[in-house]
Amino acid sequence: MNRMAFWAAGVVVAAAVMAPARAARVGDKAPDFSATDSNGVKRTLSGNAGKFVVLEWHNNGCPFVRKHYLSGSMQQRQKEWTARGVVWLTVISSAPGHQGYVTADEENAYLKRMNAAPTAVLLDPSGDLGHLYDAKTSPHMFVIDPSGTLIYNGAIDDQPSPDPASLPGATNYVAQALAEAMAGKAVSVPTSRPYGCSVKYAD
Amino acid sequence: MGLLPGTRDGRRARAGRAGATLRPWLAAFGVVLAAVPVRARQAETGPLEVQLLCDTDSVRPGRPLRVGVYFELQKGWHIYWRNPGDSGLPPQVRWTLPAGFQAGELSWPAPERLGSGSVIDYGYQGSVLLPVELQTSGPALAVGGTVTLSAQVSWIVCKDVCLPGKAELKLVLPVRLEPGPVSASHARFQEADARLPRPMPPDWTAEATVDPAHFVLTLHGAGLARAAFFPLEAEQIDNAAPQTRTPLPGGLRLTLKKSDQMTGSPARLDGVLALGPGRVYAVSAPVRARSE
Repeated sequence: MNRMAFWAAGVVVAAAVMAPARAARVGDKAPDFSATDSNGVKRTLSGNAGKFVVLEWHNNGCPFVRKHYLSGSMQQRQKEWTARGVVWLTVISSAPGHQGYVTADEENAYLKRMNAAPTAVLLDPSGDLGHLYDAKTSPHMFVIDPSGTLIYNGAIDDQPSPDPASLPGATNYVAQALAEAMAGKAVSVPTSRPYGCSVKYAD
Repeated sequence: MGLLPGTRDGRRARAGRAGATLRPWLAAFGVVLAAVPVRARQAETGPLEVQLLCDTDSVRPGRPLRVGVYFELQKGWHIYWRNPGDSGLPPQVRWTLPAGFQAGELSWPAPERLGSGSVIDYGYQGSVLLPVELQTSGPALAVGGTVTLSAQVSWIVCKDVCLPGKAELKLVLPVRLEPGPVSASHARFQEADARLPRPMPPDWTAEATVDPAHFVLTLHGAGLARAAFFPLEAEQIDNAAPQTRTPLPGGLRLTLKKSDQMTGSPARLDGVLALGPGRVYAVSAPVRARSE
């Protein structure tokens, strides 16, 4: 290998390592992943090509998440958009021993109890998927379009508060991004600061 | 949302690991419990206590009055700065004041960098006082009478779990013409003052350049070697990225990774430069694109 090729190979390796840190940028290709859901099914992003995909970071004990679940608001969004062909993947990146960590059985019981209706819940106790998307909070929301491009990264809505009174009148950025993209329009708010509890990664 | 008593919620949060959390009826019960009134002036609210303090023992008509919301936190718990960083929310205060009184903005002492790994927050552990100046030009401040200041304070307090809380606080002060003595809380105000941002010394300079990935903040001034920068805006800096300090003759260069969430290019980089107690400065650095 000549010096130039060696140098070029080094750049390629560096790029591959660096990729995840910037991969979840709006306008870029969303990084592919493979994760197991609470029914033991392997789910990939590439397996959902041609569809809109929503990623929802979740922690059942976080007051900001509870606002959206105890009010039924999140479940309603899940039902509304999966009925329109959207693949809605809830992701749990809490490490074992941390708040929000659940086994598959616990999660399935929770989904039933809460009447939640995502397409699937991805169990990510290693935090690999969370780190790949640099998910900061629960909730933290991502929307990927049918071409695999990330079109939204940020908060679920414009009301950073755990207070259920903040829900009526809130602008839900995920619903807005999906509606605009499905209508062939540009997403008017493609990024926002996610709000909520920190994702409980293993340190 | 109401205040959930800490031990109850903590137990529930821990139960969450075993999957037994969040039965809707239990959560609803928690919210009902929230309506339990708290004691005037000081509220004990799970992992923190909160009270309304005044720097003086009385109100002088027409003179500004310095009050503050004082939080005392149990070990391991934190609340958030005005820019909370990657998660959490700053405390909020809603005042109910006598006619003619007007509350200024909360002042925010320099925070600590909290958390680890890819999620970094800015906040307070231990205790913190958030001072506020009140204008007291009331129409009918009866000397010899009293005034009642009320504040509805809400917050998120976090350790490994987060709890929302709120409290109704009251402070009753006599109205006097002569200057009152400092109150027993005066030392707390002095502690807060040592951590409040003040203008940079006139001979200091701050300017920033921006490239696709970084802000480079160049500071000239004395004793900057260990400076930490806390951004006022939530979406400018990647909070979790290390701040690289490069000593310069008579100054410091701080390299700050840009946030992936930032859109557009800000005209200024605004923040707080913390060098130690009594050495906290407000920084507003003009940003220009780096010319190569």
